[in-house]
Amino acid sequence: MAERTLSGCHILVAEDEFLIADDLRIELGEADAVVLGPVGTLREALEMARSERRIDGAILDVNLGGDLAYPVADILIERGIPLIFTTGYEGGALPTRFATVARCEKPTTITRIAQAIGRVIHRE
Amino acid sequence: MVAQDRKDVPPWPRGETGMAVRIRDRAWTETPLGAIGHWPQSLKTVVDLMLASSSMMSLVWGEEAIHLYNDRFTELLREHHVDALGQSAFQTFARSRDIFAADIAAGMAGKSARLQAQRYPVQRNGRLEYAWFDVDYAPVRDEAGRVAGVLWTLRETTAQVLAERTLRESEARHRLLIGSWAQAVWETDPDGVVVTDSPSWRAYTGQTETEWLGYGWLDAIHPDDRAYAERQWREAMTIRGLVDAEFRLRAPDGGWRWTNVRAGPVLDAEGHIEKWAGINIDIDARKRAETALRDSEAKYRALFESMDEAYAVVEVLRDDHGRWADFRFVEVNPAFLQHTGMPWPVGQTVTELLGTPNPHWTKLYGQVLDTGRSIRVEESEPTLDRLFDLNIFPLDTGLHHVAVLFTNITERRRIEERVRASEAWLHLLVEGIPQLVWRSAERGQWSWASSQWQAFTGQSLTASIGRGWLDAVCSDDHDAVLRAWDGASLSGRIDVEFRVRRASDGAYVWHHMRAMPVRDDARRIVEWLGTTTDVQQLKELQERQSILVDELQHRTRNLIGVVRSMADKTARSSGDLSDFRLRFRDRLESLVRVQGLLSRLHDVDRVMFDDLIRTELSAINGGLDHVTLTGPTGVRLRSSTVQTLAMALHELATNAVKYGALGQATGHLAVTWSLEPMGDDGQPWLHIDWRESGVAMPPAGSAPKGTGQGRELIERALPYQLRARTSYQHGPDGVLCAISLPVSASKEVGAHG
Repeated sequence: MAERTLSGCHILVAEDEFLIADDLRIELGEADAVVLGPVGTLREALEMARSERRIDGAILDVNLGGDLAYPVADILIERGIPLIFTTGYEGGALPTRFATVARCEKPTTITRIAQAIGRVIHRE
Repeated sequence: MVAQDRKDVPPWPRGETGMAVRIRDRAWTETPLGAIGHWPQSLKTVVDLMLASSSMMSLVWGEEAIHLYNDRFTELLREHHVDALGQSAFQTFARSRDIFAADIAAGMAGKSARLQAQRYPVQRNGRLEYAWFDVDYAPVRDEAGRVAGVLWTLRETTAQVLAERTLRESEARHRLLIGSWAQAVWETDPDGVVVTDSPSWRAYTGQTETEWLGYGWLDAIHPDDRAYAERQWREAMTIRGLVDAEFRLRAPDGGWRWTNVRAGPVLDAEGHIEKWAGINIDIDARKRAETALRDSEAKYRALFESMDEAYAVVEVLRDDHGRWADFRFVEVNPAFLQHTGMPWPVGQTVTELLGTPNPHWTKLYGQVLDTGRSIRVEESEPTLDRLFDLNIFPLDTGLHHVAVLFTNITERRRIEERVRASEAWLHLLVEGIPQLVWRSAERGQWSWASSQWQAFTGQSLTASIGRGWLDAVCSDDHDAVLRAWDGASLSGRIDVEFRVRRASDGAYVWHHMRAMPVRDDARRIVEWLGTTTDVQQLKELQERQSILVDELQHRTRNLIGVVRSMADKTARSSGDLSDFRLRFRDRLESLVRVQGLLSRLHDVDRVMFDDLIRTELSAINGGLDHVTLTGPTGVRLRSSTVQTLAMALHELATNAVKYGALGQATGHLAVTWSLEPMGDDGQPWLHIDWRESGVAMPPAGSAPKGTGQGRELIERALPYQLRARTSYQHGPDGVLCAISLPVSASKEVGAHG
């Protein structure tokens, strides 16, 4: 599992629910990842996706306070940055251009999210 | 002069008038006859005879044909204005010399002759005419016995000749006339027996002369008519009367032809029957027409007796002023009684029968007689409670007879009216329902569309029929529509959705087309009857419902995430399980209350801040003792903020009950809030001031009572999630907390507390 370690990885977290965001922050921190954010709004997430120099992976809540996080995903994909969506929606609801993007349906454990982002980052 | 030589001789010829004087005075010495005194006695004797005769006489003498004549003869010469006396006859009558020259020569040769109806040209009444004469001529001899002249006696017969000629012509004309309308002309002897041939009879009947003679003619008569014909003939013989009979005669082609025979006796001067004359006139065409007419009358009679339509002949009657006033039934057929329900009417007037009938009848019948033109009309008879469809036509304008052919259509009209009413009702229904209704042939070839389609699309009916209606359909949907129609005859139904352009604003509105086929007895599809329904609202509702379901999923999953996180945090800060249970249940209940507030909301409603604070404090504190709430009512919170804010307020209230103002007798909680714009965009912010007082605080430096969870929510979660600005501190006699967060732009109108 060494190859799946998130240690040192810069992970962007966009999650509007504070408690979930805070949990992610703690767990990623425990995995020695560097958490970028977490941010709870589309505006902040866009800002960060554009300006952060190093992003190794991103966990995006599809719904950020009522705004869809798709523009953030588009930027990240363009930058070649692996990402996963966390979503309360059923699978079919995502636009087709994100068909290959990994998804974690809520509620899920932070561990599972961390594992998923690990797999994405290591191209499994 | 010669005569004067012998004065004692009496002048010759004797007489004081006319030709005697002229002969006596003529200067004869210049003529070949020489002086009158030297004429031979034979000449003088003949001249005396001639002058004494009352007949028309003339004498030519000698080779030169010197002409002498008597007074009667001068009539012929009167208009010729020539002095013929003593001249050569050849010279005087040069024009007719060819006619008499040979006769003079014959006379001179000693012959005599009588010539009848000799025709000579004579000047009369100013012009040259032919005149006819019976002529005698004879030679006259001189003393030597030689023929010296020719004596002529003429009797004019012109009148007689002309009369005979006229008679002949008249007879010819009669024969011609009879021949033109009689096919056969014949005669019999006084006893009625045929003794002379009749070529016309033979031509008409094809009989030979032998067959015809005697009583053979009877054989040419049709066997059925023979006895009758013979009887007629013999009766006529007996009473000497005329025959006028009709019977069938054999024709040369072997068939029979009707003939009319007319015959009568021809009487002589004494009144005796000289012969019988007769003619046959062909009446075959007339007889056949009569027979045909009788047959057709019989046929029509049978038709009128048996047909379903009512038929009547009426005589229209005038009143004293000559106006059409009433009518009498002359003839009706049996169907008349069924159609009218009237008793047998013949011989009675309509007024006698019905009392006060519809006055239109008499008017209409009179009009037909006046104009001579037929009328087709529908008219009712109130006394019979019936409606009739009538053909009225003039039959005999002299007798004022009108024929009426009619049908009782009362029941039919009732049914028609019911159908019409039902059609009107259906039409109203079709035009009244919101669906656009249409009729179509195969492959979407519309034949009709209800007015709703025209109103919605702005297409005229003409533009929409055929496949014109597709013009109003969004072009992206054409394929789907055409596919539906292609498969329609197989599936027996149409069920397809497409967008239709609305004329009023040009928007494309979703419609659902459904149709069912109308089939004939052989189950073949005759046409399609369908509706097109506006399903835009339904579509929108479905979309909205799908969004709502997604949203609900999102919220639920988030909520469970929150609950789990809350459980984790509560577990981390709990001393034991019972402590956890109490605190976790407490927090769950707070969440439930928030959900309760949220679930009561409609789409655009918002949770009001004063409701939220009052609900939460009442739930935790069991009332509002020791609490002062100050602030405007109707401050609308964003739905996304309610849950987190409620959780923060819950933590504050729980701590206040356990350790603060609401847990101590002297404590007091004042919650003050206000609404004011903040920032560049002037968005309204809610400022909440939570101020506890009268609380016995733990000594400074000791750890404050209560969990860090409430504080974490206020200091970290609210800023993170709600963009709130917060402060939290322990004052000398209680907790002081300030929260400012953006809220919904609009505030409930007129609510201020």
